[in-house]
Amino acid sequence: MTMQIAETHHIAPTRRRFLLASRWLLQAAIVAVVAVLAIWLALAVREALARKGIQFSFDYLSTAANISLSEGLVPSLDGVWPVLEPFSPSHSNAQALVAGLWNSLKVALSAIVLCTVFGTLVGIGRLSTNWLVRNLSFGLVECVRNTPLLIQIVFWYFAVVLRFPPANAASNWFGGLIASRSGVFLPGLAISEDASLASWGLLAAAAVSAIAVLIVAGMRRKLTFLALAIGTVAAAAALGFPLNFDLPVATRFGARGGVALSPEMTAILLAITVNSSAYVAEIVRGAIDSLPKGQWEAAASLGLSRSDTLRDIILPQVFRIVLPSLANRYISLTKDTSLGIAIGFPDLFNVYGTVSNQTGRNLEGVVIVMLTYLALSWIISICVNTLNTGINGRGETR
Amino acid sequence: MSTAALRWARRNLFAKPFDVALSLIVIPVLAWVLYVFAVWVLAEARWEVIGGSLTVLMTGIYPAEQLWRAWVSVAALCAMFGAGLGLSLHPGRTALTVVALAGATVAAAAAAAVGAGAGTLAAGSAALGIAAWVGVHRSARARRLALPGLLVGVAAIFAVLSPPGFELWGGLLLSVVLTITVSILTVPFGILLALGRQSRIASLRVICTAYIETMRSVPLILVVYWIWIIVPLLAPDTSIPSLLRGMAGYALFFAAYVAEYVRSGLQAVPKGQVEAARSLGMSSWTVNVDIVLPQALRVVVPSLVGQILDIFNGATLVFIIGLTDFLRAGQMILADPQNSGRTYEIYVFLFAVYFAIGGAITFASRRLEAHLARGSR
Amino acid sequence: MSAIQNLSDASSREAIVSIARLNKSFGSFHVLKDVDLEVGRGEVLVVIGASGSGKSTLIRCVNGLEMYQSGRLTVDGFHMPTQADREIGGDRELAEIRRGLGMVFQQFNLFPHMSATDNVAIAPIRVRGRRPDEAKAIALRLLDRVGLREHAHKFPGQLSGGQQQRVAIARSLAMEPRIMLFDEPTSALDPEMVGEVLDVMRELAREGMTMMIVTHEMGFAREVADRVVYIDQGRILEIGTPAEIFDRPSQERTRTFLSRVLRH
Repeated sequence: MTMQIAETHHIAPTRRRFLLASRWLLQAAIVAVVAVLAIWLALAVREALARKGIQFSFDYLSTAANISLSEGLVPSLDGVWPVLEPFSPSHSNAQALVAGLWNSLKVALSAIVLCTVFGTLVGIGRLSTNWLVRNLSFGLVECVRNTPLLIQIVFWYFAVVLRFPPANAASNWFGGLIASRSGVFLPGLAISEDASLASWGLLAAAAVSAIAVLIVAGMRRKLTFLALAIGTVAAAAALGFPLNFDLPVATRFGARGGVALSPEMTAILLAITVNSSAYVAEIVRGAIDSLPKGQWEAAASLGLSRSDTLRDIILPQVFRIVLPSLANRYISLTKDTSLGIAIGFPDLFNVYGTVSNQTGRNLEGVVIVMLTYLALSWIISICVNTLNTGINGRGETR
Repeated sequence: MSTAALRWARRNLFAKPFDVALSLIVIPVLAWVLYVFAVWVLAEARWEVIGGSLTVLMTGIYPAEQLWRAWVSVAALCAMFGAGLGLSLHPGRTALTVVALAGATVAAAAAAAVGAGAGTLAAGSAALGIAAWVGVHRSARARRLALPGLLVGVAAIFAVLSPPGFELWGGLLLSVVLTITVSILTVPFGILLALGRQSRIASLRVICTAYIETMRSVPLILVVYWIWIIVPLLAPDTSIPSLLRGMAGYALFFAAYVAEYVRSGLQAVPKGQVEAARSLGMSSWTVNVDIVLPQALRVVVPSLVGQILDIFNGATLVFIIGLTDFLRAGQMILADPQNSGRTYEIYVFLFAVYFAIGGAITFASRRLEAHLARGSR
Repeated sequence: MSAIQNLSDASSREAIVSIARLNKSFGSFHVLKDVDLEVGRGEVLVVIGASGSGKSTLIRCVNGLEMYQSGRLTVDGFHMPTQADREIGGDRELAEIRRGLGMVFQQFNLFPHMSATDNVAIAPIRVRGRRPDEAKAIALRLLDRVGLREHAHKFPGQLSGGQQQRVAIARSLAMEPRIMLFDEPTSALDPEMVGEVLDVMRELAREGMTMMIVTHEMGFAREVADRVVYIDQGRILEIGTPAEIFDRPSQERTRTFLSRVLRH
């Protein structure tokens, strides 16, 4: 069958040229505008600084800081070995910032671990069959999320930690924990005098056996490794255990020995942990709720108890769902450490402020601090993403 | 009746062995905590400190003879808040009673603490708010005027409060005005950022994405502080008040989050909607404004309301640029030697007020979300 | 119009859709291979094939929802832009071409935030610039034509699948298209609602609308189609009248496909 073919109209060649040209012009215009803005900004700032007699340079980083921080460790060289030593005014400004970063990281990493654990518990508690637990969890989450973090930090510091008993009057919990207004002291690990290569080796063997107990399958194998672990520990103890608990002993102003957390760090760690736990609780609860009801129904019809269902069916699926939201929460948490300035905790932002006041180097400092926070956020994202792909890539397809 | 209570307890507290264990631990601890707290609140705490410093808490260092300006702003805020309620919440009997009771409590507290004049003014503002609520809900014309009315209200508040000077703004009033202004500023800016991020023009896309990612990675306090420092350097001859510099910092920070909410809203609209609209010959503008945006807003608006709470909580950070907000005012009061023992009273009061406001915003956001979701069924 | 009558008119029929050596790929997946097809004015063309054969892609290319890489696609006198053209721009031209085309989707794609009347009226208001009351009158008339006058004020969430699809057809008709495209219009419907939609489509065909329909409803195709096209792995394997395709298919693969589909 032949048919007549109707007349055709094209997109006019002139219009085509016009569209192409306008596209390129628009791109160029935007780049030009942004470049001009950036250059104007830089020039204006340089001129303003010049008028004040300051020059934009990073030299100040190597000059002595002449400030003192209430806590913070800096990496430095003891001869050839790298060591961590407490910050002192003779250290450079760069080391001051590093000390601040170290403090921020201490809080951030501890808080990340603690809030994940605690938050998951509260999140599960929100779905508990126990009315009290359910509503208490809800109440805690609502209290924390509806009030500013700053007031929580300040409250924990002034109304809780500073109200702890003084060190010499504080009770010694379980023989190792002292909570006083000069800080919280935990038992630390120290190398004891009787340490020898043999006892170290036995201890290492014990650790490996303990891990093996968890990993290998089969009751008989598990029992063998357990026996091995116990045996090696006993032998190490007989020879002289290489590790010792360094228990804090209260003094008038604090405690000797053990791991010390300053009152500022205690307060901010508590505040940030409790605060982020509430958000993690909501993330976990939301993820559990988002699973199809059919999962619960199928598990129930197989005869699984509620806790078994939770452990074997629900939580593994939930874990995969929550990872991106948890990553965001961890980044927010790291940023929250910057509020330490409100209670005098020398975190990165606080130290930057002090150094800037001392040297007048506000702008250079901001660039450094901004880049640092960007790097921290980026690192957290990458870590969580690797975990995500690691889990998803192991053949657990959706 | 007690058998019903026993049955309830049995089912909700003691159903399974694990629950029994939990209840046996939690109930005594909870009872002890509540008892100690109640005893403290009623018997030991000395609440006069709140009454004595209520003005400072509410308005910071604002001069006393200009407080009438603050009252005008409060009235305007109540009207705006009422209008906002009117757009989304039906003034049913329970809702009205709750709000009326809340207003009455505040008025009574104001009367007890400051004086009868304050009490009447507070009651009047609450009544104005309720009237606005009912009015906007009933009349369609009022609904159309709501959004421009909001902008006019903010402008009016600025006009009436600024003559004594921006440096004197403080207290809860500062926190609230900052929150509202920043919330309004971030919306257009955030939408533009989101559109830029989706743009076909590569350079625009890169710039917007870089901006959004940077703002999400750095702390708010840093952005606020930095803008506060850099603005005087760029415009050395004009002196821009700290408050305005601070608001700019907040707006620049939160606009990035608005952009992300808008982006997820746009992604929530099924592709088929755009295909159907384009198949009808609609232009890009019509597709976006008539089809995509209304559906995207359903996802975006609850997030925006939630962000109002984030901004309000973030307003406490203005201490870094030398302003005195509600929290700072409380700390200032504690710094006074004669108030040094009243730590718990002040903090409990601050907590209570923040929780009341925060809880109200959260409640509104949840209701709004449910309301919008119902509309799509 | 019966198929026999069509045959005698076919040679004088003007081609309203002309597809010549059309090629389309999704990345490295070559989904349409050298497709040649012409659709006459007033003709009802039904496209059948297995899933993944490219029949939906073909019809989506006709209205520009998919971009083709090479070949010539002419719709109602307009040359449809290729993918290369689209990257430069040309959205305005495309919008204009689409005014004469109507598309009905498998998933209906009604606008959930508008009532049925508004769904039908929005395009005449925004695209053709009609006054709202005029457009509303048109909408009510069309909804009446598809049998949904009493449901005009309802929202899509309150309508059944069959009712939604009929609203979708009315929505497309509101733009007075010269060609109507249907992408598996009844595949997402419960069986008892398929009939009401097919009735509307049958009526449209009877009134002389040019239609390109992708469907699995073979009975409908046999009754209404002027020609049936069988697509297999991106190529047109066979084309002919319903009688030719369903009763005397010349290709082996056509026979296999039909035997699988027509069994139930």
